[in-house]
Amino acid sequence: MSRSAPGEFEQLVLLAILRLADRAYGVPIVEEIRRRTERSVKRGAVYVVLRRLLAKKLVVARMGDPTPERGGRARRYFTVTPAGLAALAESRRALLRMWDGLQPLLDGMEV
Amino acid sequence: MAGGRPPAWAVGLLSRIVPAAEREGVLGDLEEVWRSRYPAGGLAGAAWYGWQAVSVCFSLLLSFDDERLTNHGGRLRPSIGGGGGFMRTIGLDLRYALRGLRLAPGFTVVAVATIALGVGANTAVFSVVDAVLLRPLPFGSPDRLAVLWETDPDRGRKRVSPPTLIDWQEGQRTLSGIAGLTEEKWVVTGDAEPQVLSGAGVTPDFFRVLDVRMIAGRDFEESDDVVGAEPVALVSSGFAMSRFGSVAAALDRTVRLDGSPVRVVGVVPSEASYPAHADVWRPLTSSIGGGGMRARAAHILIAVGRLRPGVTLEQATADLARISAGISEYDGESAELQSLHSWVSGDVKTALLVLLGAVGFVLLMACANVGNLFLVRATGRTREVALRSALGASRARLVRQFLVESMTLGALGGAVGTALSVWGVRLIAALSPTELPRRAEIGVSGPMLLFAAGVTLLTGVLVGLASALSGTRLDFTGALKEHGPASGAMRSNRVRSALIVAEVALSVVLLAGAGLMVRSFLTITAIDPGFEAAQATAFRISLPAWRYPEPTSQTAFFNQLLERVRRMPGVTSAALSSNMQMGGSTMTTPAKIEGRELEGALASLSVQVSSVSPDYFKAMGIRLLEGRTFSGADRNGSALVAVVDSEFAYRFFPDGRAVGKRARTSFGDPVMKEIVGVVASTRHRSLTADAPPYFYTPMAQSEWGFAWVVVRSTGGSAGLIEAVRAAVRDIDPEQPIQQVATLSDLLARSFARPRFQAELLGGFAAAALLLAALGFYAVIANATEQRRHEIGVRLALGAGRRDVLRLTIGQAMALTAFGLAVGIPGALLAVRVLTSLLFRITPTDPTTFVAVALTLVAVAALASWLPARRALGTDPVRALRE
Repeated sequence: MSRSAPGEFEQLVLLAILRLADRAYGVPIVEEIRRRTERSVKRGAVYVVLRRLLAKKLVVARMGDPTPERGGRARRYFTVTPAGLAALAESRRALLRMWDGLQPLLDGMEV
Repeated sequence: MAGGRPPAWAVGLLSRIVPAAEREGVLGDLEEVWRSRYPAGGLAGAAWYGWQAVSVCFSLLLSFDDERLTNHGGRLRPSIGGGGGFMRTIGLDLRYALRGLRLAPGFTVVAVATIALGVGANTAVFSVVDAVLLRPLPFGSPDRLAVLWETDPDRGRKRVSPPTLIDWQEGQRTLSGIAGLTEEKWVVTGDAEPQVLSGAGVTPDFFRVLDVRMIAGRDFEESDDVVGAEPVALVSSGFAMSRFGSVAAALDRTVRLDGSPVRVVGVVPSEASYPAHADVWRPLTSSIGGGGMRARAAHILIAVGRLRPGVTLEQATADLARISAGISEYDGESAELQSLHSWVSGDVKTALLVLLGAVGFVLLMACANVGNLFLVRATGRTREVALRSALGASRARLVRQFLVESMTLGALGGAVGTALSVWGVRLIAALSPTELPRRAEIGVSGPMLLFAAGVTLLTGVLVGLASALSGTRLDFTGALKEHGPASGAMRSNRVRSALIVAEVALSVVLLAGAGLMVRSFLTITAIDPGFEAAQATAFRISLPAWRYPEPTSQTAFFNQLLERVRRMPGVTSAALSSNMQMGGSTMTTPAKIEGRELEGALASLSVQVSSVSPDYFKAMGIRLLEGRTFSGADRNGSALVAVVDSEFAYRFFPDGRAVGKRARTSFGDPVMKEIVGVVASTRHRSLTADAPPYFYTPMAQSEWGFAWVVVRSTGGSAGLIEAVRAAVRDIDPEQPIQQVATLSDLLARSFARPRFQAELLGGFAAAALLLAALGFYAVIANATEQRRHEIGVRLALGAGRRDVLRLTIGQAMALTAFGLAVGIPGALLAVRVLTSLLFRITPTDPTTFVAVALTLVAVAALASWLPARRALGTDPVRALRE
């Protein structure tokens, strides 16, 4: 695995961004991960990951329009780059290959 | 839209921490959620927002760069690859260090306590050194102030006589001002209880030379210092507050000093009081009179001068010496200058610096011990360190982590130690002898806390560096193997052994120093003062001349008092003396023997003179050796007699009897007196000063103005003191008692300082022993643990108790021997600084050093006894299997 391959949490953030399409900014990203993984997530941790993903060029950011609910501040929207998608796909492939043939282990477990 | 805004402080915090590029997004997100959850705002909303803000900031500051995923009870922590900023890695190290310390409570407690001991002791002693030696005096530009002395080749330094002071003032070119003072005590009477006050007679420019401004009223002027001027005085702010209620209320008030009314014209700030406990100042002429001002032989003034800018002490000395040589009637009279600061600090400099050095040793030992503990821990974590190194952590990174750990420990220990030192400073100030200069200024201060912080930092770095450098030098492949002992463990052992040897060496120095001080102190207390100190109380009563102008009135007062005192229950004898042993005053003059011309040293030998009532020797418990003491028959009009002590007899009549010979002193009547008795020699100024020759005359046959009343009783002194006070009040309600002390107390003042030094040094030595014992225990225990396998083999092969003991205690003895070999020569050098503080003990006293060596050997043996016993209990089979 190369050094820039996303870790588990980074993958979750990337996937959340993909699911949210053009609605992907801080608040719903956190909500989406919480909802789907059923685990508590620290907001600050998500921001840290977003910064890292930007640095690795796996996502890009753009500013939206200011809204009054945000005290006149704009939203910061994120989009997964092609590189980001490729990295995600590679991680998925690697994981699936590792899981190959191990499905019976999961029988009887709630998956 | 929902009301209000999020809490401003939280918004401000986020604005500061969140990088600019992300600020709008983060702040906006938080406000969005806040508004949707808490539309009405309110306290709950503010709390939520604040918590979120802090949490986000925390995450951003301490974001991990750890590769692992940690999953604690459902909370996801991000696994982020790559290195982070410097702040982030320090943050990680800090969290890691704190967690590690929390998981090893035993180690943490011992290490923190040890560091606290070192830091606390050092800070406490430093605060004393700071107050007494370092802090500048509370005057303007205090480093320009100097004390001026007259000197002559015979007697060295003398105080300055008033005419000389005037000559210096007129002829000098190097000082911007010269002032003089005499120390005085006055009885203050008037609207309140009679009080005895310390004060001084001063030249009018005194406070101007010191650059001290009055806080109310005015300073003295030239016109105040002439015969016939209105009697005025300056008082201290402390006195003004206690007597008049406020500083302003004291101005223009009249007080009676020794009966004469004076008007208060100004108030001196108490912190700038000079001499140290003075409360009242009067112009010099009113103190010593016009005649006193003209007496060239009266060396009574303490003179203070302020150097002109750019002038050195040497230049000023030469200047004044030139003037002295011109005016002097004697050969060789000259002048000497000394900086005021060094005179005020007095001769305590050596003692205090010794203490500071000693406590510094204790700190080094504490560092060595904690360093040892660290190394033990480090060897226990070899696998972890090896793993991190294999995963790419650089050596610098690992060292940094060790340093953060040790500095965290240091910070904790330093905080506890500083808190301890606040208490310790008070303890030291309370224990210190009352004549310690600037004692009142000892306390917690800014420089002291700064010092504590500096010492803490140093400790943390020292401890961490030593263990970090050795702990990270491990052979990793060895460590990563399942059961292989890391060869680094051996290297670590060598460092630890070296630390123990260093500790032993330091202990030798400390113990030797403490041992010498204790022996010196005990030597002093064993000195026979020549009189019976127990069960005797002394009262000093000074009858002012203006109320008791005739000698007969004074006699009447004291006779009345003695009669009453003798009738008190429990009193076995009561007597009077003009110059009591240990009383603080010295009246000395040369003696003359009838029929002999004295030469050389004998001619100028200073003899203590004292006028005493007949019961004096009985009351003081001074033994009669020959002849008789005074009786009622020796009174005014009868033959003049004297009693001498054995020192006098030995000096002046070395071959024969003194009784029957005739002698006199330059004090009182220039008539020869017949020596009728010889009593035992006594100490006078202090226990350590040589016993001077004594010449006693009967009180009834001499003139005397103040007296000591000595009372020997069987009961306790408290009741007696009350009774005597009541008796004095009965006879004369306005007469105070200047001083009350038991003879034991007066004696104790002789050794207050040696006792203080011995106590402190002894305390440090005890701490050193404790640290050394702990250090030994740790080293030997660990070494034994590591050699379990070897011990098991030996036991299995038939080794006896003795062999195993040799391994453990033998190792301890070897380390001790090394430590002694290094420490004793070092100690022999180091204790030389104590020479001036020791009494009748040489610094290289062999008994002390032997005792020190034996003590350390015993401590080492004891400390290694427990691990030795455990080694004996090793099960060979298990040890072999491991």
